[in-house]
Amino acid sequence: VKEPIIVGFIGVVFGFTLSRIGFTSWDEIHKMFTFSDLRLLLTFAIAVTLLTISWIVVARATGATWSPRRVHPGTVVGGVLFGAGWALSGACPSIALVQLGEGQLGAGLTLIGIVAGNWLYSVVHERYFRWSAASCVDA
Amino acid sequence: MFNGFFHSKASAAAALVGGGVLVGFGTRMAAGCTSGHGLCGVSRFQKGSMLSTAAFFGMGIVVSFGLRFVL
Repeated sequence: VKEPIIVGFIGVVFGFTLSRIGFTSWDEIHKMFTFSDLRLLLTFAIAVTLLTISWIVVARATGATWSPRRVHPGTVVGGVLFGAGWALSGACPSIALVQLGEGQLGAGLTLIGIVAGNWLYSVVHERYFRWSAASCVDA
Repeated sequence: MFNGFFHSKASAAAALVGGGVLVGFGTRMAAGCTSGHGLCGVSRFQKGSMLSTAAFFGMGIVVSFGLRFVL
């Protein structure tokens, strides 16, 4: 019963942080990709470092394990397509929601695109690919 | 900057919708995004995540520099 409230609160903190560090700004993302400002890359590196420590601490304390993320046929191609889309729209999936929350109305168009792309992939996958890939959600 | 690249409303809308489609298709195909692969996967040294993250960061760099030549 309490879980949705806790998860929702974490989401609010996550969105607030993403907004404050400038990860929701097209211009900042462009500066990151063209190395004209290394700040966001540094932020990313710090986040990864903190997470590495966190996984170890949580695993030691609770004995929790997490499912592996193996290489599958969509790993590189999907990544390449996503990278192109990120550089064009200035948004990765959760960012589009945060942008909308900030009042960047153009993010509504990005969200429509994301939903359409997701649906399109499910159709293409069903018809042509059919390989198994771990879900985006690995609890 | 965004307006500097995409002068008209039509080109800006095309970049957002088109980019969004690529984001939706690509993240689903790679089974992960910046959070899933880039943060959670890389921090656990998962091979699939490190490969996918290298791919999307690499392509992001290519396309961002490419915009300067095309637009």
